Amino acid sequence: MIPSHSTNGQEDFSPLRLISELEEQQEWFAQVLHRTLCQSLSGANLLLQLLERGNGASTADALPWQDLRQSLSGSMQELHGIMDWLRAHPMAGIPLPIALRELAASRGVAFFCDIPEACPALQPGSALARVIYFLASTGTWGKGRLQMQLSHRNGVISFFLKSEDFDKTDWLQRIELLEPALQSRARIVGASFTVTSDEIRLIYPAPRTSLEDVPCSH
Amino acid sequence: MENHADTAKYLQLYLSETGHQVDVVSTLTGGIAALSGKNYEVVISDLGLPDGTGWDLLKATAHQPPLLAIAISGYGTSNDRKRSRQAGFHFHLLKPFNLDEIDHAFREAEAQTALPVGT
Repeated sequence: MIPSHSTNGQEDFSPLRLISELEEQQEWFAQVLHRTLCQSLSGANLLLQLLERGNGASTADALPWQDLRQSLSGSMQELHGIMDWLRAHPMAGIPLPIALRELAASRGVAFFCDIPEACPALQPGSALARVIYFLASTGTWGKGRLQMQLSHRNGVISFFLKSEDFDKTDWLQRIELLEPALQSRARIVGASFTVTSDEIRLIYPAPRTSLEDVPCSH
Repeated sequence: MENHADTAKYLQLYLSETGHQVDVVSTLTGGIAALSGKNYEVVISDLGLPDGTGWDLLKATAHQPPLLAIAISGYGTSNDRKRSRQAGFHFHLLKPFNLDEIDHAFREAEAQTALPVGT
């Protein structure tokens, strides 16, 4: 579905638009914290209280301290995951095709690119390049096989990440959490962003009427 | 009604060991089905569920409200608490909550009904 305020390639930097995006991301971040750390720490807190009160000993021999350690360890993993998503993921001043190639190599992701490294739209100072790099760096976090492609056809730049034998449940849950942040960035640069069961795709500029009107990108 | 497995497990353990009979569901659909098939004196519900909210649960079963309804949530603004009251919850506990708060809610309900609640 195309965002209602998609701007067909026109970057929208109006103050109201940017404030709205910030507010949406703030709400999104609250939801992420609620669904991850808040839940797991709440469970650990309950368990700690049970241990203090001496409950559980008759019901589960192994209940306790080991469970608490596992629970806190799980919370730490979630915290690290959130920190990883929130890091700036800088492109380090290099063109996007090179940055993506290096990212793909470091994460074991297959990468295909048919855009020259000198393409002006994909230099490190470009908002579009930074949005695509954010999408790539957050979407490839974890284990499994992914295919990443950046291409240019008929004036349309498209980027997609496709899951192969990836743990799709885990991947989709993460993408679901990230989607508002990714949608928000796509809107700011006038691109469209879609998620299906095994693929995420960004198209720039956003198509005028529907995704079917976009020229084939591969 | 709680979709976080550890929280549900430990709360169930605590309530069982303090003499209550406890059923656990993890979705709004499961909660509505449970409440339509059995009279529960106490409902403890997380607000954020995969298929709806705890507020939806009480609205869907408003014709047969429990003696005691406790909302548990990571969201605790005045607006969240107001919505819980409007939906029919007697207490809104902010995660991570203390078991003392659960005990307090049961004592309050028992004082008001002059009956043991949820045993």
